[in-house]
Amino acid sequence: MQKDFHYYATYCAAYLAGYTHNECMDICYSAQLVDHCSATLLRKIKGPVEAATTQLQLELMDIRTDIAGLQDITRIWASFHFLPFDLYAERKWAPKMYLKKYRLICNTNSDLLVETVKLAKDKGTQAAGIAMHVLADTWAHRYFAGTPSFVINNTNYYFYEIIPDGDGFTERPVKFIHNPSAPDDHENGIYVNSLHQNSETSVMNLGHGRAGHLPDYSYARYRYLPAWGDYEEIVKDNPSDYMNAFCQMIYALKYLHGEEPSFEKNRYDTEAVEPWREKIKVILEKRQTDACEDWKKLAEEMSGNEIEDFDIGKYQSEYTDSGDRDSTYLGRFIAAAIAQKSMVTYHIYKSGSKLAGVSITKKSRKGGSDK
Amino acid sequence: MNWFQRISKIITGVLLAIAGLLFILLDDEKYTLLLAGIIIYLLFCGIKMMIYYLTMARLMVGGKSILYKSVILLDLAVFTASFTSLSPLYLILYLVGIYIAAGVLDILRSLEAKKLDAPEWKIKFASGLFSILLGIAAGISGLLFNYPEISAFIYGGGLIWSGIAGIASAFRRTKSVYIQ
Repeated sequence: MQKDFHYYATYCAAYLAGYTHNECMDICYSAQLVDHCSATLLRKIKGPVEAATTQLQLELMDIRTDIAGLQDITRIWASFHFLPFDLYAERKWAPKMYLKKYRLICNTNSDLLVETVKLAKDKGTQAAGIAMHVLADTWAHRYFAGTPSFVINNTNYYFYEIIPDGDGFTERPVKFIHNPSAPDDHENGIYVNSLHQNSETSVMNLGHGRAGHLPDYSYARYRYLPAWGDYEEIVKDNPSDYMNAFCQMIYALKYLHGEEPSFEKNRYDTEAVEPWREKIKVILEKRQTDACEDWKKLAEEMSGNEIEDFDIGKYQSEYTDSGDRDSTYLGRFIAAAIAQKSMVTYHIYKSGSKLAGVSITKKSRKGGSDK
Repeated sequence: MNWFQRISKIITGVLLAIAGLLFILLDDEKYTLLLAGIIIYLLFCGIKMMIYYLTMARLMVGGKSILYKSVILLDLAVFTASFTSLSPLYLILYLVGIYIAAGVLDILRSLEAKKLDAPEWKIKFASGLFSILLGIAAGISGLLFNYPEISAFIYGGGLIWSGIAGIASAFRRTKSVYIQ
């Protein structure tokens, strides 16, 4: 997903969940910051690099794909962008080496999602924003894994876009190109994807790189053969998935706000969204690669407040100049990011895989335990 | 390209250039040495790919292509081993054949890259064309004029060229598509 959903749509969901305008701004800022908080940014503000929630293109270009490098990649991408669905999934005749990667495939309504949302409870708006980013991405990035893997994330020529045409749909093969400077051309169905590399651990095979940005566009409907899918076709309906993501965000945010007693899987707040459903549907279905303007307009109509654009430097001086960094906006974001990363790494390690690294549980002085 | 990949490219380039130099300077034992090197390399790649197929790729859509590649590599290793008892002329022609085949592959890949709008297709195309021309020159001198020494010299020159090109590409700025 992109800024249109992580920032503006998250604002809308928070508003419908009962948060005030300022709280909504904090939540959506944090949700969008997940896509910017790289090791480079953290070094710039002299923050802890282990709190990185993303990796920039240049960082990925320079990262070593040895064990430590792969663990670093997996910790970040599996924790924040491709939350694993079932860490104990089985597949007949599959060796352990394969299963470790297979189990990292992202999907919606997982046990880890419940843990993610519960972890954010009573931890402030920054933690809520991070949880909303993770939740939303489970819908966009489902069927891909947050680790470089040719056998899991590869796609092939069998890739068709399904386009609304009158009352029905037409199909056309997607043409993928590798020109980094070319924009996606949704009119003609030409999209940029990562290079085909049959090296298992090439960063070209990270996440949905081989499917380009199609999973990130709310209008996209397509069918393809996922590399792990045993020749079974997957039909991805983003408008429907994004609507579910939006309704699930409202439900999760209501839980974090204290209006819902618990957070359970497969529950969506369709009631709160009802007055806005048609308008949201129009935005989701509109063929555009950036829906920020439309979502912004809707958010301003909902709350009656002006929504300022995302500014990456907004809280940086507050953090760098503060004597008590932990209590600043970025300080809380960093704490929540580390907690989320530790939780996911712990569960991956507990399942018998060291793909995200080794998790150590320390007894905390307060009687609990820190991972 | 990360710095680890750049260093690997430089090391491979240096080794190739040294092999090319040795090929020009050494006498008849160079053929045996080169054959042994090629056999070991092909066996290593073939076995590695076969293990990858058995443990991972057999479960993936289109994974059979990995099996085919590994079988072809192992076959090539066995085929190469059968050349040890032949005269240097046939040996050099075989090596030239591999060199031309690699050039053709480079050109096919470059055409594929061009179709996908990847900017690096021109370099690949040029290097493929150069390999083919060099292979043809070595083949003509060996086959038509019966001068295996000249073929060996051209082949060695080709190896040095490949090594230098590899080292140069390690310093090239790369632009790749990463989807986040």
